[in-house]
Amino acid sequence: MKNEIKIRKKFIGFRNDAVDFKRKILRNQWKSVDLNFSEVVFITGAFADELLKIKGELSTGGIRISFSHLGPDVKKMISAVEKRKLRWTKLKN
Amino acid sequence: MELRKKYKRQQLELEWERISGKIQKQSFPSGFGQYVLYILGELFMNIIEHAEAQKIKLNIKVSKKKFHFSVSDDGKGIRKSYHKNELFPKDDKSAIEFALGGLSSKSGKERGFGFYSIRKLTEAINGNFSIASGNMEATISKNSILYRRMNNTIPGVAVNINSPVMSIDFYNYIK
Repeated sequence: MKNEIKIRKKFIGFRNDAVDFKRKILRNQWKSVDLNFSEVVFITGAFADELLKIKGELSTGGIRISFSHLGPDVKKMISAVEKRKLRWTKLKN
Repeated sequence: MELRKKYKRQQLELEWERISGKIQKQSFPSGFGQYVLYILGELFMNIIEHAEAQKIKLNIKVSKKKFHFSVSDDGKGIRKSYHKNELFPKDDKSAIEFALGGLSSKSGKERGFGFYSIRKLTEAINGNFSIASGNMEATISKNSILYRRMNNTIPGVAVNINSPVMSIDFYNYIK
């Protein structure tokens, strides 16, 4: 059966929310998990940043996180923060 | 929409969701609602993660043409927030410069985009953004920053934003 975390909030703003997902994934020893955003309307840049960081960290440990049912604002924020992180990584190197 | 309220630190996460719901119900020009939600989220998160504040004052006033937002806390201020990450700005002005330039006070060598992106967004819609901490206040308007030493030292951080209500290509400025 597919592991899923259905996010029960309309607005997610805090890094701790993403850290809670990480804790749940590690506690359950899941190797793959889908984060279902169907109820989410808006996320902050800080939450997106933390979520992408956690996704990267867990993927190096063989754990795959996917995102599903992204609304337009959630999709745009994740994409914008991904681009920003990429640009910042290039600047640092 | 008008909101003037005092909160305790423990209330902020739930209040953010409640206030965000109110903002979402407003009818704004394209991208402006996202701008307001973003400011609120980033500044509340700064308080939760860095400020060690007990009390927070929030004031939001939006009419058809004007937007006013202010938030202040009684926490340790920007300068001391950097100390836990072993960064030591020489004074309050340097600390504000660090924050506006995007230097994070989180552990790890990350960039902190909160104040930096709020500044960029507010400039994009010809708004004014001021940030005060310790004995220093910086006012950003039309791509310039004016620093002013205040007569008194304030606890925590105080942020004020005034802008017109207008459409903004929000996600383009977040990148």
